[in-house]
Amino acid sequence: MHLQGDKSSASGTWAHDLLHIFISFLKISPLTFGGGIAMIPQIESEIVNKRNWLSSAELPNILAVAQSAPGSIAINAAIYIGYTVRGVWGSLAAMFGMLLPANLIIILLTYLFLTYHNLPMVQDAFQGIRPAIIALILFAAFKIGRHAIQDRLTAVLFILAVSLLVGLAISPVFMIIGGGLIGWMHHLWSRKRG
Amino acid sequence: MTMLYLFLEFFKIGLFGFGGGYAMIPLMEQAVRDHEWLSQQQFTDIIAIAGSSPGPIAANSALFIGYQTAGVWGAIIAAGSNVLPSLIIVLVLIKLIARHADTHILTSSLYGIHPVITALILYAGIRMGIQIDLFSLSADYSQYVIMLGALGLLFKKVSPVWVISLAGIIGMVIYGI
Repeated sequence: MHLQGDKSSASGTWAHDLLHIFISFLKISPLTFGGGIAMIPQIESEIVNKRNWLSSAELPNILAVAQSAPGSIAINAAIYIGYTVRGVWGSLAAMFGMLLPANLIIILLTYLFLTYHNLPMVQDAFQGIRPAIIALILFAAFKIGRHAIQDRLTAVLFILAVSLLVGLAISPVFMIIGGGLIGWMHHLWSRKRG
Repeated sequence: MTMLYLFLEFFKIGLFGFGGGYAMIPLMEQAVRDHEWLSQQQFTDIIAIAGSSPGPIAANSALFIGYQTAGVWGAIIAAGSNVLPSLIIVLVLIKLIARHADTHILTSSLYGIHPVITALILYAGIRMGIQIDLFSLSADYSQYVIMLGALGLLFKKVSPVWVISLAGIIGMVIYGI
């Protein structure tokens, strides 16, 4: 991965640029239904083509960092782009732009849900929605698993993790740390063997 | 005390959520269960609302869980502490890459973390399914059909919003009549 460094690629004044970063992500955010990777075409048209803040050659780096860091891919990508354009303040402006529309919509939906969730019609709708949510989660497991389980060791790790979850009530955090340590040791070991 | 727990739990969820928003669902489920913030059904409903809204599913769920637990400030603290690790780690990664530092420790850790995350998401999905009686033999098969239909649509790359909306309409029709 290669990066331009700390050099900011924006041209306007500080406040002007921050406002534009904020507005750009305000526009991208409502379009990110169903996972952060879906926003990449929006980023390309808004950030690369329209604003010229980044070259499209940098998109793979953005995706790599956004997927490697923990947390939402969309938010990680926003932090990365905001930082490249205008440093730490740029990353904050991008992050808040990304969060604000989603937050406002979820506040409205929370209000509606808490007010109307006792209506029979809403209860019936949710009885239909709950199995669809299970499908959504199982599909997410499939999407990550398709790339994660790539050889014998990762398959063993997956089966081991499932058995530990079913058999013992180990905290997910410890299992994630354990997986990370095994991955790291595997890397050190295979490097030593050349 | 609730505020402190909300901050610590959602910071932890953000810190260990490797692999995007859905990777945080098992961690959120654990936190919600440990602290008895919500019932399992409430949690499933929150994921339903967060999944059918635009924007990152984890930030949406954090806001909702925080609000249900401790009102407006709870929502702000949960959502804020959930994105804080992302902010710190992405900025550190950018610095490291700019210095051409060795990032193998992260990439090689992810090689081992992602299979575990897959197991965690799968297990969370199955446990949520058990909670709504999806997999028991006496279960109402209509829910099972909705789940399989939804899976089929998702594999056909239909947007989750449409899948959830359709499931809601089907629910209103078959359970309402």
